[in-house]
Amino acid sequence: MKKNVKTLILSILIILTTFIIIRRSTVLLYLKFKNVKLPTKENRQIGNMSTHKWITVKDLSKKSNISVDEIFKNLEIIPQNGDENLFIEELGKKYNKTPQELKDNLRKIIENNKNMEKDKNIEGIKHE
Amino acid sequence: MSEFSNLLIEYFRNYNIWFLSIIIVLQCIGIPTGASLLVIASGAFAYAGEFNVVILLLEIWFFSWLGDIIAYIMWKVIGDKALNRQSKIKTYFQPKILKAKTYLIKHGRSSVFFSRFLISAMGPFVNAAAGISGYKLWTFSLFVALGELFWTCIYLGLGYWFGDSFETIVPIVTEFGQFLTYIAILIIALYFFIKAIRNKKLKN
Repeated sequence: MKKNVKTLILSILIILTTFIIIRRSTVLLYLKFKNVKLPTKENRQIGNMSTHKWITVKDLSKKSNISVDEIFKNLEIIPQNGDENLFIEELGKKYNKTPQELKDNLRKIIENNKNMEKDKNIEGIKHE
Repeated sequence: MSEFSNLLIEYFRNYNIWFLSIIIVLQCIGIPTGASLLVIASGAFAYAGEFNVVILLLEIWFFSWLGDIIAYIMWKVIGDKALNRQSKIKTYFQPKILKAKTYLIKHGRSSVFFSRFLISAMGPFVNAAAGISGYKLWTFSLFVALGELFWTCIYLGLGYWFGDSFETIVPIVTEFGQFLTYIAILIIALYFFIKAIRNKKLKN
């Protein structure tokens, strides 16, 4: 077979295969795009725990100005030494908590924190 | 998310920007490390208040630029050494390198710029071609910086926008990248196909 004929056959094969792959992935992509929920303030803060599961109780305590014990209480966990340095996901696995349970409890902590900040702001305005 | 992605995020949480910078540099050299996923994740962590988003953007931008420059220098050194070692290799590759050089003189800026964020899978190949053919480092560096700024803003911005739900966007971003790569392959294949037909016609 001549070199050019070989190139032609190979090129046709590559074009056909790529065309089929593109057609398939276009349909799949379209379906996935359709199913994406655009971010809202709520699901950016607590969505599917994408960031929260990678935060330790110690970090969460610093960030939301709540004591470590209070967080464990909200998470319904009786902690052992060093648990404050574990990621929330690892804590869930250690104490057999489902992601949904952790999510609901974390939401409580965040909402409490928000309410406390609101109260502080209102008090500040009153004092002024 | 896969086990590997979870492992990447775990290391990122433990070693922060230093781990991210190594992953970015390796990806620029051509080793698939999942840097895009980590940049999206870091954007989400920035939204959660773990990092300052502006500092993070500057760091990611700098390390991706540095990675490309390292890749360019690496390929330049490898190319020079390999070509000077054996005359057979030199005679075989010299015309191809000249061809790449002419192509880069004509379309180098747009190739470097768009291969940073639009068809990022082609980035390492463009780095290699630019390094081996001795494309101007200054021009390469400038367009890499511009392209990488786009890449950083897109991926970091997506993570920041989706926040705690960033995992929902990761598969779509990955598949979209693959989709663009397939299109690029199709275009390249079509180009060679048309070229082969033209050559045949000319010979006839």
